[in-house]
Amino acid sequence: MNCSEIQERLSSYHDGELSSDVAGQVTAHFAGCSTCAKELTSFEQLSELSCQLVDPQVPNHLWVELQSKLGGSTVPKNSLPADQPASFATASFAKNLPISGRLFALAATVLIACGIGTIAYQAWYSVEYEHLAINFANYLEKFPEQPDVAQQLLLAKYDGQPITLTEATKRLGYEPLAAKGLPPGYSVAEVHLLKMPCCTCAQILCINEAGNTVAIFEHVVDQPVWFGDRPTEDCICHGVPTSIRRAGGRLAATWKEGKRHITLIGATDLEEVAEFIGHFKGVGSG
Amino acid sequence: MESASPRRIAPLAASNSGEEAVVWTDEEAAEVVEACKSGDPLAQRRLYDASQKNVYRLVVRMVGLQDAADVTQQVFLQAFRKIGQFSGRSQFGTWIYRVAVNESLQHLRKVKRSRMQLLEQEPMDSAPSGHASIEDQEVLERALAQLEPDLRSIFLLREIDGLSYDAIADVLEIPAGTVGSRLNRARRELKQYLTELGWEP
Ligand SMILES: [Zn+2]
Repeated sequence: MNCSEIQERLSSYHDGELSSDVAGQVTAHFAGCSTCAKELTSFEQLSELSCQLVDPQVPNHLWVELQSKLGGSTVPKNSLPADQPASFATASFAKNLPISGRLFALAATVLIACGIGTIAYQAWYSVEYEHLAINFANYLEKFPEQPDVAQQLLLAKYDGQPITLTEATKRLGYEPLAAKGLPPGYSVAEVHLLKMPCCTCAQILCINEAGNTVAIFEHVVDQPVWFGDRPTEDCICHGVPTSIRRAGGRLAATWKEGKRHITLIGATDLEEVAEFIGHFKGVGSG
Repeated sequence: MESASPRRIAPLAASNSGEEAVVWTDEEAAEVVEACKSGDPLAQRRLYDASQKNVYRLVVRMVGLQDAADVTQQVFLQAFRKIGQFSGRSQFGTWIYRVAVNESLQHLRKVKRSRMQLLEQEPMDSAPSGHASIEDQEVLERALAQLEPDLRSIFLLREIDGLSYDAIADVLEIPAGTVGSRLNRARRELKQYLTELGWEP
């Protein structure tokens, strides 16, 4: 077979769809033709790359909405447990949280289904936010294990610039909460400004006495899409409505302090989250 | 990063709260499909559970995350509505893929104009020539988004869903003999876009 005949069969060969007879002829051609062999290698690389794609998580609300469109019949009680009503998912999540309900009064009505960030999408075509969600999913997963690596990737993506807290205050037009002091035992390790699709945002890396790192993001635009469709726990902590997700074995929390949206990433447990919420409470209202 | 799950998933895999996929026997599938034909909500739920992951994964990459939930719902509405027409000649798994591809393509045609306007306003920001830090997954997602929808669907069905050429031909309703050449085109164009985005194997 000549090169063009080989090229025609390249996918079929790569996908194992040729008869062994024809496949043998194609294999023989590669031995003497680096052009065709190279093209095959590129197909193989594409397949390897495709294996790295992570499956998107199906939103929990999909079935519920679908059902109402189907004519409002109710979910069979003994159906499979994949998409229980929000309260069930929340209850099981709460059970696994590493702390009692003393600090966190679970709101009876929880929203678990609206993770996709519809609000943010309304203002923006999806591409930017899709990538933001992907980048943040990676960041959340990587951060507990390798905060440095996670950090480098994020900074590279959003033009992260190291900056002092004083300088950040000038650039943002407001003083980051961390500038007014961190909870006892924490110190500021690094401050960066990140150019996110939503806004420029301050990120403060804090380190505690045990050497554990947490990241605080402060921004002025609500940004639920960061967490994609991760199951969300909504609760009240120190009187502040807070959303909590589990990520990479740690907790990520978002809440509002004054006009700022605060996101804490890398907390070990709810106590640590509560410490930051309590510490910052009222600080941002000025 | 989540560990890479095995990609070769059977077309009709029951995803029981995201755990190990269970594959139905032909008898089970036929039973559920029959029950769906009479509108049995429990059967509908079983069908949904078994195929939602595959459908959603395909739809996300066909129409983007923003519209994926709506289009996925549309896929199942259509599937339940038209299940009477499902002959059983093809696998149910193949059939639901066909509905998913068709709904996705229809959706894309509908939004094409407005989307193109939006894309025009949006300069391709950080096409990072020689910038190695941009991650493989993101590069591939971007390159896929540039691929024309017909080629994108065939590439996804092969590489992500692992369908055979016969099954792909069945899903896309094209002659089996053309699957290979279409995949050639899809792969070559995708490679081109990847290179433009600075991807190096
Ligand atoms: Zn050759």
